[in-house]
Amino acid sequence: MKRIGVFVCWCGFNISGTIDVKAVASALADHPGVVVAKDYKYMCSEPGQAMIKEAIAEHRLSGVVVAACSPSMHETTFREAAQAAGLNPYMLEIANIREHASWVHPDDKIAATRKAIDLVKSLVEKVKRNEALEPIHVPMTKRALVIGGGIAGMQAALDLADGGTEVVLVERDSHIGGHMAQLSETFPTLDCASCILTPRTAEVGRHPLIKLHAYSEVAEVSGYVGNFTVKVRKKRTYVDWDKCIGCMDCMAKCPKKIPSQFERGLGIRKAIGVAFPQAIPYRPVIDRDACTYFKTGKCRICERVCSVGAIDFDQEERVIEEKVGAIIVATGYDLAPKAKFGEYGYGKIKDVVDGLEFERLNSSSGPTEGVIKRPSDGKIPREVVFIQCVGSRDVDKGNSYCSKICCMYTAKHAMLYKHKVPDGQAYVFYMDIRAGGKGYEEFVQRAVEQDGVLYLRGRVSKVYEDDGKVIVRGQDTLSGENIEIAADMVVLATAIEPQRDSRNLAQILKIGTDQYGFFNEAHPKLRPVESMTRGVFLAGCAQAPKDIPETVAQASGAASKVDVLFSKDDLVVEPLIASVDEAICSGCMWCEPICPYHAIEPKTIEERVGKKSVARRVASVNAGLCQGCGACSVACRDGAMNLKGYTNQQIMAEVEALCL
Amino acid sequence: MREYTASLKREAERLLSEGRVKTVIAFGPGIDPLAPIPAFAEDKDEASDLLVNAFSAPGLAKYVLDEVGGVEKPEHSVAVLARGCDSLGIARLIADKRVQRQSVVILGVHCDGVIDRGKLLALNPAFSRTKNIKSVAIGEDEVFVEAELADRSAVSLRGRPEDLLLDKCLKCLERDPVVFDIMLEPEAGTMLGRETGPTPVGDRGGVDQGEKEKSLRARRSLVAETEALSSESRYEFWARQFERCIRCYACRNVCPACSCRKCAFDVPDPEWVSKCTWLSEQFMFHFLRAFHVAGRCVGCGECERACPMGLPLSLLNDKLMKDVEEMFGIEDPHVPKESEPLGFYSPDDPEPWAKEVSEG
Repeated sequence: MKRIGVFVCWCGFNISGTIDVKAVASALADHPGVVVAKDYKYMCSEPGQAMIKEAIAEHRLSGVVVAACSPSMHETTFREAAQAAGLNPYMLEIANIREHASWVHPDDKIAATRKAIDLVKSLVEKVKRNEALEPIHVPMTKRALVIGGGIAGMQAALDLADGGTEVVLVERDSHIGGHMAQLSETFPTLDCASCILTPRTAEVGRHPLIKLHAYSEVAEVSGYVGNFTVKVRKKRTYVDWDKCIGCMDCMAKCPKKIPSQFERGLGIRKAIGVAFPQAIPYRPVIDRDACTYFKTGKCRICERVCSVGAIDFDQEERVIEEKVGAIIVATGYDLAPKAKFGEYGYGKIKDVVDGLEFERLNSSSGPTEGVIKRPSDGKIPREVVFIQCVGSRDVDKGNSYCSKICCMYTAKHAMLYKHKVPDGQAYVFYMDIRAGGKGYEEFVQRAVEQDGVLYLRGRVSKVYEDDGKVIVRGQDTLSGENIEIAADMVVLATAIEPQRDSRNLAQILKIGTDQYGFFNEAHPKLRPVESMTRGVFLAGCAQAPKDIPETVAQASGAASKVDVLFSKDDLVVEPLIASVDEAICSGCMWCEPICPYHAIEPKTIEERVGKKSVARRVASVNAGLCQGCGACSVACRDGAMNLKGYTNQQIMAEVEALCL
Repeated sequence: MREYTASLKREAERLLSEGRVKTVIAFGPGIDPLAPIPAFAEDKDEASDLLVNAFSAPGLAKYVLDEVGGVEKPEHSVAVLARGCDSLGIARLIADKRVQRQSVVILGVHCDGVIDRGKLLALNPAFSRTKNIKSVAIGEDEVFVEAELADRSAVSLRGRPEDLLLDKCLKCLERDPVVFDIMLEPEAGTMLGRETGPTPVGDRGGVDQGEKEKSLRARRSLVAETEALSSESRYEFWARQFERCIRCYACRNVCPACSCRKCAFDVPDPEWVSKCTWLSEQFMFHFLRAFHVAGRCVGCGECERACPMGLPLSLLNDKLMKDVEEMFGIEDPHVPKESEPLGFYSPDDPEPWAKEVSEG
């Protein structure tokens, strides 16, 4: 015999202002199976919870329905109270009579009350069919994968490793450091980027708990939170990094020079070698497309000069498998491609550069050794125009978002330029200045007031080349005047965009992206470092444009989320997952391809038919992977698949209580 | 239908004596020569009674499921006679992982159609005293039946196919099996019916595209007729049909796409459909069944043939088949495939109703 208790909450006036809570309680008191029905001003308060606990003991309740606010608010509160009173927590259900009744029908008290009664009755019918459920414990691998070795990935890896967690760090490039390694100075303090970055890269390189796979990519991820299996594709470097001692004789002797990607095409590198002197790992890679030997079949100078025989032209790509329990995605960003900005002459006029190119021109380790020279003729530019919001906040270019860091780095660029060319003039075309951050507004003011950077509010309409000058035409919308500047150089603050293949990685990881390709966080405010897939966390610009301090904070946040996950002995999974009634299951496996979490696979069971033992295929659900979405139970024709806590029987009982 | 009985017996005897199969499913003589019944031969003697002729109406696919044991460790292999429609049903069971391909030996035959006993008797009641079928010829425009009656007298009838063949045969999508192991050869000399020459083994060249187009047109025009109705008249139309349903479940039992171990209609809790025959429950039953086989229906027409009340059940299935074909761009939607359009989720799935809703 079911013994159900109903507890109607007033929620102050939130519910009782519209719904006659006494009428709800008395209507339910007469409902079959209900042995006690009470109301109280605040059920979630201590006395309210005590009322429920006492009733469970006094009336030996087999199930409880609390008619209150949304279960997303207090389901846990009430289930814990029920558990404290000795009732299985899953024998308690919430009837939402606030968001579903009082708040949406404030003008019709009678109808709202009637609806509340119906809602509570339907939950009473459901709870009669509830079963006691126990949380599921799944073992886990306490080892983390970090994808991306930029500042975000390094921070997350170091935080985790320092806390004693083993980390697998996968970096697509031959070196870690990411975009930050390309920067000259950083705002708002103007400290040199490599001075603060290289201690980190070095630490990552030598940390005993960080296993670094550079020049590698994540090819495949299977499994689920606590138990991921990751296939890492180690690309061909053509150099045996285990043998190599990093003498770089190969790089010194290589006769083939090519534009350096790291220098954004402004400097050169060799077909074999490292991108920059502080690269970690300090191990060379052969650029197959540039290498003379791969093109013509002749050369092999590097092989001859290598004293340890590390050059291996026949090296094969390797795929290795790593078992991890959590994944942090820190794949960073890309700048909007040149091709998008023909109207600014980018890609056509040599002296129109983007922000990262300007960083390299500024960097003491860059192609000009820190002297700002314009790319076309190497002259020191006397007038430099900086254009903000290039491709950001621009629906026509596909990006309606703000890239967030450009206001600050443009101010930094203009300032650095002025420090190096004090008699030069810097102009900044801007839409408005967004300098929210500690010391940021002061930094921009310093650029204007101390360094005399001229800020012009308006958009640039045209950029063209004339007699060795880059002519910039625009409008100052504050004065209403048309402006034409004969500049020596133009710097575009091009938009931050997701990595070109971010959607592909999102598919591999089964996480979502927004319309631009940035990875989606689970909740924009309350779960900003988690993805919608359990065990996969986000850090840095892969989630949205952000600056270094924010990136570092998010990376540490993601690392601490992994630590929280790993702090438990095993993985506790809510038992609200799909389950198969093997007696009914026909083994058609229709559910398998429908499951978005790949949680269903066939298994063979032995069954006695008459006197014989017959093997039969049935579906089986992996408790670790199943997220309880219920897609399988909808697809199952014979109803063998059922969602615990939301079984077909429970749902039908609810529907019948509402409709009949 | 051409004469395959001799080669059927020969293959059945061979398969049984070699021990390759334990049972051969085909037809055997019933009480009425115009109604052969499914037969299951387990030895040489029983094999000698097997037959197949132009009156062999029931589909055989579903019997395979009963005869083969578990999927992983089949109790034994069976051989089954398969016309186009039977083979579609068997392919369905294999695609639904209810039968393993290797546990069934499919004996394919070409089929030009099966005579509807009811239609024949309505045209000439004398056939009810048939002792022997002497000859049958099924042509594109004409069907000829000749029989010897109990009193040794002979009776014959010539008529149009639509007046003599089963309705499902008039809408036939596959005259030759889509899957088979052995293609039976029609007997030379004893060949009856349309002379197209024997169909080579392992070749589906016998598929007459013209015939198939005709069948598809027939199906589509019936669907288009109901689609053209206003929703009120369409409701009235189906209400008139479903009112007559006696819920015998013959349509389900005969359907090769309805192969669940425990049918949702037989589950007492939750009671998806009540046992009573209120109109709303009738609608629920028929819609549920149509949606359960949507995207998987092989168009064999067995449901309609088995229905004792003559409900136009193919019409429901054809409508869904047409939608699957058009919305998902599936060619030959009646032929079972490895993955079914409704069996997985893709972000590009068509959602015409969403468009309708957004356009108000």
